[in-house]
Amino acid sequence: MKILMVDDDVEITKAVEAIITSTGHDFQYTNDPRDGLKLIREQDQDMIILDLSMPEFSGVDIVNDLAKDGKIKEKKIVVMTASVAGDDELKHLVDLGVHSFLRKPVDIDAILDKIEEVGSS
Amino acid sequence: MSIKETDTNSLKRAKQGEHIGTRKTIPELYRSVDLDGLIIDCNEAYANRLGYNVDDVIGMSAFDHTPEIGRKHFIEVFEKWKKTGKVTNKKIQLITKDGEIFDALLTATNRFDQDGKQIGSATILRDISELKWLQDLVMITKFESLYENSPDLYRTVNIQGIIVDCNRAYREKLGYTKEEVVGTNLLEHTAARSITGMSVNMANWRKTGKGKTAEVWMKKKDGTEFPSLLTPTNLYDDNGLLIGRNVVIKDITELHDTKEVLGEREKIDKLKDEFIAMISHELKTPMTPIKLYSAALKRPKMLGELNKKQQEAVDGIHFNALRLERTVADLLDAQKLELGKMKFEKKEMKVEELMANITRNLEKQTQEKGGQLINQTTEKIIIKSDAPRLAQVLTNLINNAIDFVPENTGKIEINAQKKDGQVQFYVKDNGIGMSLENQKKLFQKFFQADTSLTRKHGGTGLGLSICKGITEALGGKIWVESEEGKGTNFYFTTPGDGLQ
Repeated sequence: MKILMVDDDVEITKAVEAIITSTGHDFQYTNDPRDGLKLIREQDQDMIILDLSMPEFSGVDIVNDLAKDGKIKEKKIVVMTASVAGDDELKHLVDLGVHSFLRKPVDIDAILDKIEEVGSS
Repeated sequence: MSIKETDTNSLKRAKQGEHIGTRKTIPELYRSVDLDGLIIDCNEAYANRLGYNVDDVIGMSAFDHTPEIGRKHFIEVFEKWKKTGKVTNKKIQLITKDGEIFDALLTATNRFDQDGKQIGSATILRDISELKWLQDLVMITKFESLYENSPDLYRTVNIQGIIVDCNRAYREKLGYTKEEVVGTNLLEHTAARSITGMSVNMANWRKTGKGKTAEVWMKKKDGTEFPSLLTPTNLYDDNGLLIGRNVVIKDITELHDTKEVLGEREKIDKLKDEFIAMISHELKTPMTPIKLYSAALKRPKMLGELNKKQQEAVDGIHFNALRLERTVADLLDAQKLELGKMKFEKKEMKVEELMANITRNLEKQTQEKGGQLINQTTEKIIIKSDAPRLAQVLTNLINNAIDFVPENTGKIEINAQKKDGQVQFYVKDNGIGMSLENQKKLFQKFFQADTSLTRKHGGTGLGLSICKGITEALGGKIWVESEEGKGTNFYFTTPGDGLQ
């Protein structure tokens, strides 16, 4: 699977990279959200792992931008957040077309299970 | 019949009356009228009050002594007398020769001649204008006393906003003498921040005559200010012309302080929320790679084989990352419960499934300590509740029990059963137990039974306070039964909403 991760925290993206590449998937990441939006728009990925809280241009901004032309559902966006917001508060993102959520600090199995879930959907 | 004729006849008849003399001496006003309303007799008091001589009055009509505005009413009273022969204490108006109008209470009966023929009325009129004046005086005195002695601040201003009077509370609060206040523009007693509002308020009032209650900052003689609530009442002259207003000024310093305190508390709560959100994010973010890397290292297939010592080191890192994770989660939960911001979602759930899942999740951990976790649930129960939160309470209690049961012989029993329309859960262990004193403090935040430096059991001391918070927020209760050395039983209930 081709997986893209957009998260401003370098450490998290590197750790996720170590795990996902070890399982044989094609993994790419960026720590710049604007760059992330560009990659999502210009390239095809099977799954996108998206952080919400990023400076200047947040994950919500990316979701809103992608939701504009209705192609967001094909993108299989999995939001990975450390937010204290409850599930109901995040529900509007699902309404906008986000696939699902992962809560930080996330564990390996949750990531691997999610990849499998998205891959088989 | 002509007036003259009636006059003469009535007069004649009246003079034959036996009790005229007595009538003449009474202090009340007395007159006697015939059926047409002509006055056939009166006493001195009546004639004098009306500004005539007795001789002038005889032959005049009672209607001559009735002002135009009271005419209609007098006709009613007069007709009633003619019809029933009796009228008692009817208020009418009289007009004097000079045009003074005054109120009187009229009581009339019939007068008869020697043959028993009705010849006219015997009317007593009690001048109540003096009484009214007295009543007014009493009212004014009462009002003045109320005005002067009211705990609220009173001031009276004219249409230009010049203060014409004020009460003691006003003078004392603002620190002026009456002489200093009277003649002053009210704006001089208004704090700078309220001057514009006050000017607009006065201009509107002058234009429309309408005044609303307004919050105004007042200024004292010493320059200090206080918040107040101004309630105006209009004053009119006899012609109904607006001439000023009475203003009740309520000092609302206390209310204002309370409002300010509340506002301050809201701000602090918001800051707390923001702080917690920030801390949570900043702790969870670095924890994520620690957890991921250490977990990845534990899997030889992922990042390669480690030697035994390296494995132990990684286990330590991973275990402590999890511990830190739980602490952060506990702190957030405690904070949410304290602020009443924890959200609950009640859905239909199978209690025995919850118990089975919990057992499956924690069995391994118990066995690692050589103990056993026994699920004794046999009843099939369906309720509407928040399964993840109930699981959190159970997990917390079981984790606690695992901590306190003896190595290798530990036994933890859990159960859920219907009781009194509710569901009662328990977590029983054969651990070290606790004293009654500790049981009492157990559910307090940050409480640790063992606070010594050498204590075996860690944790933030938040777990049980969270259990209590969740249980109670769901509408249930939690309690403990324990004896030192004999284990501990935790019980909690949850309402049987939609219980099946």
